[in-house]
Amino acid sequence: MLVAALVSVLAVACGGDDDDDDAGDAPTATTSEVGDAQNDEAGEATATTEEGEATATEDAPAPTTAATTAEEDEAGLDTSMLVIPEARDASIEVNGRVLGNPDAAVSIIEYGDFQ
Amino acid sequence: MVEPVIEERYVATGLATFEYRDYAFLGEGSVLAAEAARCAADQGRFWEYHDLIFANVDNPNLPGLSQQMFDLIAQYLELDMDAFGSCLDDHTHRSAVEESRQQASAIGVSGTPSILLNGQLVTGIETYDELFQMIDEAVGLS
Repeated sequence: MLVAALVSVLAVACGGDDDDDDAGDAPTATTSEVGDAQNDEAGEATATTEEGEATATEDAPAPTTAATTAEEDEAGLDTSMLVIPEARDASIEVNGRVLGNPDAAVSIIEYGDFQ
Repeated sequence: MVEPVIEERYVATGLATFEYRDYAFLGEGSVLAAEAARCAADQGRFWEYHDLIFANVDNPNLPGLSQQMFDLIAQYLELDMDAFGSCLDDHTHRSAVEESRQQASAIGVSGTPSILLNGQLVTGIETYDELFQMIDEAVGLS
């Protein structure tokens, strides 16, 4: 009841026509938006809600990104915290995961774990 | 660390090549780190990424082997973060990491670091000095 009353007030405030049956559907639709789909109008309400959700989804990346940034900020991590190893001898040839002269007679392979 | 000595003594001098292969056997963090390094390799930055992981795995200011750390290193190297993120999220290289571990196990690797010298797994040594002595002999330094 309270919801219906509030919606009616909103409908009036928004220029809606209380006498209009369609406007009368609006409260149902709005109610459905909060999960109370109970009648045929719920279909329309759902459509409206889906549109709203679609808009919300389109807007979602921004807050998600912001949250991610916030998490990073909360963690207080930035690249200045990295220990930077000494640069490798630039004269060493690099071929993917292999270092050194490919014509070298000896091959050394290390199986390692980053842990 | 065995790598710096190998690089300085044998690789930089042109006497040997050195290849890093994954034997990620210490849990999910190990596997993810290996995947991350391969994702960096896709952008031609394997060794820089490799070096940064090892330099920071015990960094007390960082959360260890984790998505945050992997991203931080990628950012430092100015990798394409979209490509790197997708690569890691999609586990593009997980099967390759697992395959590498299985291949290593098949030839007798059971811990790290394990070294293959001219294709043969080095066993029966207890110190790096013994390893370097073996390599010295292989490359003709002794």
